[in-house]
Amino acid sequence: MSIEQDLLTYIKKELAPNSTDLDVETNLAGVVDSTAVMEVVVWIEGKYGFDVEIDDITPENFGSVKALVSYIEKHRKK
Amino acid sequence: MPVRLFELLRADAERFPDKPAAVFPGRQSISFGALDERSDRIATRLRRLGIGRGDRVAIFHDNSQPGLEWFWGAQKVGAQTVDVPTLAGRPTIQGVLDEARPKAIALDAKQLKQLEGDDGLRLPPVWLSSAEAADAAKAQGAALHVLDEVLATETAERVAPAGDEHDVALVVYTSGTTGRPNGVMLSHDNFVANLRAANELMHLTADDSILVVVPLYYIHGRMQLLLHTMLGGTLYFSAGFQFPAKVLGELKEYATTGFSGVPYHFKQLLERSKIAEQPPESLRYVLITGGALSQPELRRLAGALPNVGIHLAYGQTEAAPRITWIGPDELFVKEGSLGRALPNVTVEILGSDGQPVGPGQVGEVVASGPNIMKGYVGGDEAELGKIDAQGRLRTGDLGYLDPDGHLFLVGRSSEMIKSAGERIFPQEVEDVVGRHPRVREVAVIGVPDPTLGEKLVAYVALHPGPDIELSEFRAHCLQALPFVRVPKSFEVVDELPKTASGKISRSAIRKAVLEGVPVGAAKPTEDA
Repeated sequence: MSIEQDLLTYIKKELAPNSTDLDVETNLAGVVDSTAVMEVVVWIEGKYGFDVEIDDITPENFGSVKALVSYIEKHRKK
Repeated sequence: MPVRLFELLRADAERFPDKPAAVFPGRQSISFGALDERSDRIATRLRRLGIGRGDRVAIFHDNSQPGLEWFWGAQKVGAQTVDVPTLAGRPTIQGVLDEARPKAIALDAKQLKQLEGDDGLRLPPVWLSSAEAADAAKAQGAALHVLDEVLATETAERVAPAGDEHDVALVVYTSGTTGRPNGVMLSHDNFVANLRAANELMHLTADDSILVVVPLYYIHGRMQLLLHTMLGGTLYFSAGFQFPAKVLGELKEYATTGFSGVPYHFKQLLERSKIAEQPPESLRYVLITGGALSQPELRRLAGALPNVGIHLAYGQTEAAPRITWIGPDELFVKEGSLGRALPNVTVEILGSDGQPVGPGQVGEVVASGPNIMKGYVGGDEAELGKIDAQGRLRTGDLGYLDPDGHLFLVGRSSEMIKSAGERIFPQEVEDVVGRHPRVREVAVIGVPDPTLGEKLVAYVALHPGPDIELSEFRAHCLQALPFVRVPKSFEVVDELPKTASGKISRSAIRKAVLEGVPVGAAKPTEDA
């Protein structure tokens, strides 16, 4: 599965099953609250095998599934 | 001098007409003069609708400029505003509206989705909202008043409403020992007395400004609004606490002098932002409320922000809300203290016989003063034992005073769960868990958690049936509740402890958990 699909599946199943209209562009601010962001961080670290830096946890990187995909791709290759 | 809350805004508009009263994410701002003028226009409309002294107007908004404008408009006709916690489950919100019976509701169009479906909310007959609400208003047979239209057509008149400073100004819902929401009625003088006393200690001025990370519908948020309205200081609203690194950026960008949060906010800033490496230069004080940070965490905060005064306050919504305060001079001298009573507040510790006990002796913390609430909307404050025959607030918290009058808490009795900066009613979560067909009975409590402050745990007894994955309960809850309000774990027990009258005893469960005893075997205590 692609990173995009993995993320959509994870968020829909584990964090916000009510967000039926969630897509790659959806602003996650209304979907993922501050405690859920921490879970996303832990999930990314476990699944993609890199440490998420404090300064990287920003709306620019975590604001949408699309932003998360490009963030993960950039760091996974390092 | 007696003052009603709207007069604080009027005074700001006179003194600082062009100064920003509030700045929202994206730098959208409104001046004191404009806020005063726009809310005058709203007041004209509300008067035309026959809304005035003694009537209630619900505010169903996340932090936003229209939410502020409707709030002040309602205050200016002498009405009581009712803060609706937008994140609470629908049955809780409906319960609040059904009990408080507001004549009108200021409705954020973002909340319209809460009206959909079989369990959709039923709102009061007068809606104060935007044009987006037109279809939904029609469907519910409500009269819609659109903000833009009100502002364009009404005149700004400075009419003094009927009533006085002893009238109820705000209704804020909190949870005492019942687990269900109680509407706390607070008067103008409750707030003004508390704000003035708090500021005798903190010495804030019109030059102070604050970054607001909490919703205005919590007392903590309203307090920040009212304090800065009293001072003539500017409120900067954060885009949200999802990203602590971003919140640090906001503190630097807006260069606020103050920041106030609950322990969770400070822990997150310490752990998930570079606040120690890049402290905001203009910040001169922080105020911690809603629970204490541990001493090591307080020291870490002081180390990260060496030029910032750390203040700590203890209170309850029923006390509008501050009871005690401790400032930077004593914080590390009196370790673990929540401070002394505010100048106009009396704190007593009562023993089990109801008589005051001496220094060092543990008993119930009781507060009296001009800040203590008028009562609950339900009129049951005496029956619930919250206000005693002498008019004192029985906090239900256990603590002691040292010989210098410093308060130390040893136990909390409120059922309100404070998790990740949210205030959660156990009942709103239990209502949702209880709707799962396999659940026979449920109790939700908060257990101490190093990160969240308190972690939601659901104890469930099940109807007979095949084995069930506990994750199914979590998925069930996520259908109805935001993530932060979903229990982090589910524990299955054969039977939940009950009181003599057959009610599930959350306090007995909490006691069992803290003592490491199996919950199924827990026996409720006398007062449970």
